[in-house]
Amino acid sequence: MTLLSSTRWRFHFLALISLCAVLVLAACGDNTPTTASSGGSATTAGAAAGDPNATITVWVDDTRKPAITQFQQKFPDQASKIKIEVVDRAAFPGKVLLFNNTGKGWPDVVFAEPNIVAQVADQAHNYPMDLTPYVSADIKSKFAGLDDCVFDGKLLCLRNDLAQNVLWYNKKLMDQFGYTVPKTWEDYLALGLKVAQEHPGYVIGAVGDNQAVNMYFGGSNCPLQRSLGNSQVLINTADPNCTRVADMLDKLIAAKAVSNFGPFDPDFAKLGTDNKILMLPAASWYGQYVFKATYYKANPTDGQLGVAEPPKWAADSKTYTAAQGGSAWTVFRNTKNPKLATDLVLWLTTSNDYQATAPTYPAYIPAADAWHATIQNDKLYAFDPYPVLKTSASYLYPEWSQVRYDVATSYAKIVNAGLKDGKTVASLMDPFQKDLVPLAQAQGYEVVTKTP
Amino acid sequence: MRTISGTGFGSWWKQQQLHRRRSGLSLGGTVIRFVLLLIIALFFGLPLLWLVLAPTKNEDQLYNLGSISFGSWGRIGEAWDHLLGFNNAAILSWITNSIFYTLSSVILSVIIVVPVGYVLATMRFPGRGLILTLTLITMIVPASALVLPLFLELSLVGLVDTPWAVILPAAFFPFGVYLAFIYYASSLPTDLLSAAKVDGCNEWQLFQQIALPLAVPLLGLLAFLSFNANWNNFFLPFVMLNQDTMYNLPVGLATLAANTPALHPAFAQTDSPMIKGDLALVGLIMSIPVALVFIFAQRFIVSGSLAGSVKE
Repeated sequence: MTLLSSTRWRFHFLALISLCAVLVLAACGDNTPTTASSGGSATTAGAAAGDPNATITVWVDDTRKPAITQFQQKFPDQASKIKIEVVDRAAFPGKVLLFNNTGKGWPDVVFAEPNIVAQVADQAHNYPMDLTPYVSADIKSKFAGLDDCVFDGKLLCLRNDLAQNVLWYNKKLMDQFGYTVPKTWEDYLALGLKVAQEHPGYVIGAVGDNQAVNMYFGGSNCPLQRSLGNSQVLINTADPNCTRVADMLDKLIAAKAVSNFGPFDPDFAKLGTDNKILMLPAASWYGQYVFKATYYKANPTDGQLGVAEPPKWAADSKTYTAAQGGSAWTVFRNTKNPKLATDLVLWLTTSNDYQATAPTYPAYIPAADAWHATIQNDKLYAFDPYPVLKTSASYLYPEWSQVRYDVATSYAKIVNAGLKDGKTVASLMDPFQKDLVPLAQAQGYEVVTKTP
Repeated sequence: MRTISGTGFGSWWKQQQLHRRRSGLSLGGTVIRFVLLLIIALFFGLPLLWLVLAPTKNEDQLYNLGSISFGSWGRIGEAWDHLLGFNNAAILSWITNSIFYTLSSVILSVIIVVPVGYVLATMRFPGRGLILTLTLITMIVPASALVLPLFLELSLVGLVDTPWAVILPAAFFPFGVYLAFIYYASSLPTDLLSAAKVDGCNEWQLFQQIALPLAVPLLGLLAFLSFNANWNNFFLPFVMLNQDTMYNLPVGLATLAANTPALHPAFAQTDSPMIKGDLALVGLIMSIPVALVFIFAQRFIVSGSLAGSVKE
């Protein structure tokens, strides 16, 4: 018994020692992320010197994969140096943290929305390269929406495409009803109430999904995601720029002039099929990919869809608009082949070879002018929509900043869900504030409710 | 014993009444039991039926036809063509990878787990109690909690982004060890082993010639459990693999869903023809092997899972 006890004790002791060794090794391994994420990893030297023969890995979605292939065909001497991976880019920030821990594995070029770039630009991820030295002032000046790529004065991505919000409308119905397209949100409200009385069943908007926050609140310069530097953000749902939107939406919802469904809900799509959508504030890509592909698919009618600039609030000196999507290309700060990575990104964003026939509105203005041909003669539209899309792109504003917390998801959780329960938008502004603030704080922001 | 012959509803009803009398259930009890079972069957069966039917329907039919209705056979071919069109037919690689990762993991885990369970059940050695305790503890640790430490470990030895990063961790199957231990501890008579030893068997021969042939139900059960866990494994391959051609089906399906507007309206600005029914087809492709393996292995699964439940 004594012998057995002694043997057991020795075994347990050895097991304990082994466990401690594992913990010590783990603690040693903990140094790796700090070194890697601070840029002190082995790749730094390679990146500084740059190896023109090094292979780069590009993370992209399936839609943009042909763009990379096109670059490879255009520059065959570079083709074998590019490895393409089709990924779920939402996983990108999490993967970067893993790579930072192991000190290897980072992709060199990634296609992602600017808000994802914002997430990987913080101290923990520390992923993107400052592209300022690689992009001339002339090229920068020809981009629309490039503010979304500037973080702390650094250019951390180049915009691929824009999804600026505009006001889509059914021109034939508007003409038939004798209505004028509203130029201000006040006119929009007045017309909505009129439509509800004169033509019940027709709608002038949809507020049932999380993109309503971009469309309506983003169109009012409401401070929900106004970055005041890398570590401070202004959030104030009680700001008059927010409450005026809430009041407008409540009146339109009560009159049933806007739908409580989202634009992608089957019930709203049915309104489109039944030709009951009089107006719809939405992104620039809705013309091709929502009206044409869904709402008007069953009953295509030529020359029906019109587009107008997003309405402006009468009291504002200028028009504000946000976006529903629009992506960018970002480059790894320690890429071994910065020349190829930046050449690729510059070509992808500025070359007419790709952008002139790209699926969505190019952010680079000369490329957008070339892209114009893809929609110019489309019979879907009542008139050439490009001039309106181009002007609206210039209304994108930097105060609707790219931040590390997700405003749209919070909006869905609080406002969309509250509306489904019969609450008013105005009554949900305070809970929305209370949900947003801790989200921002969890991402390391100091939240203020007034501009310092 | 009274028997009832004949066919048809009358005969079935008489049989039910006889069964009811024997089991002591009233007519009301039988009806309630039947209704309850029907509700449960519908609750669990309808989603499965929807999944089977969804690939036969296009987007309009999916919304406008009844939930439990058939579209057309041609739609399945169209859905498959859409899947092949995604990322150079990556789905074929995902299917191949899933089969390879899963079979390798099953073989490896069974090879490791069965001898370990046997040794723990039949031999006494220092630390045995501790190993059994640790096995029980690790059983209750969620597998996903171990993925990140595993990632660091496999990265250290350069195995991340290789098939080994998915296959090797599958060898760690504490529940299988515990099942094998219970099986041998309760179903393998120690007298049988003693007799074999007297006849000159060494330890390896005891395991190979006596313990292993007696463990066929156990092997079936372990293989099924391991197959099910590894075939549906998402988080481990998601963390370990970065090359899209190395994904297994669950990670591939997630990538597919994220890259198409089918389930992600914000990505509607693409020319992708993928619709919800196409993704349902991938779900179906993922489900069929599990169902087939269950059907073929159910005899072993039942007998294996009951092993040790009765002390004789």
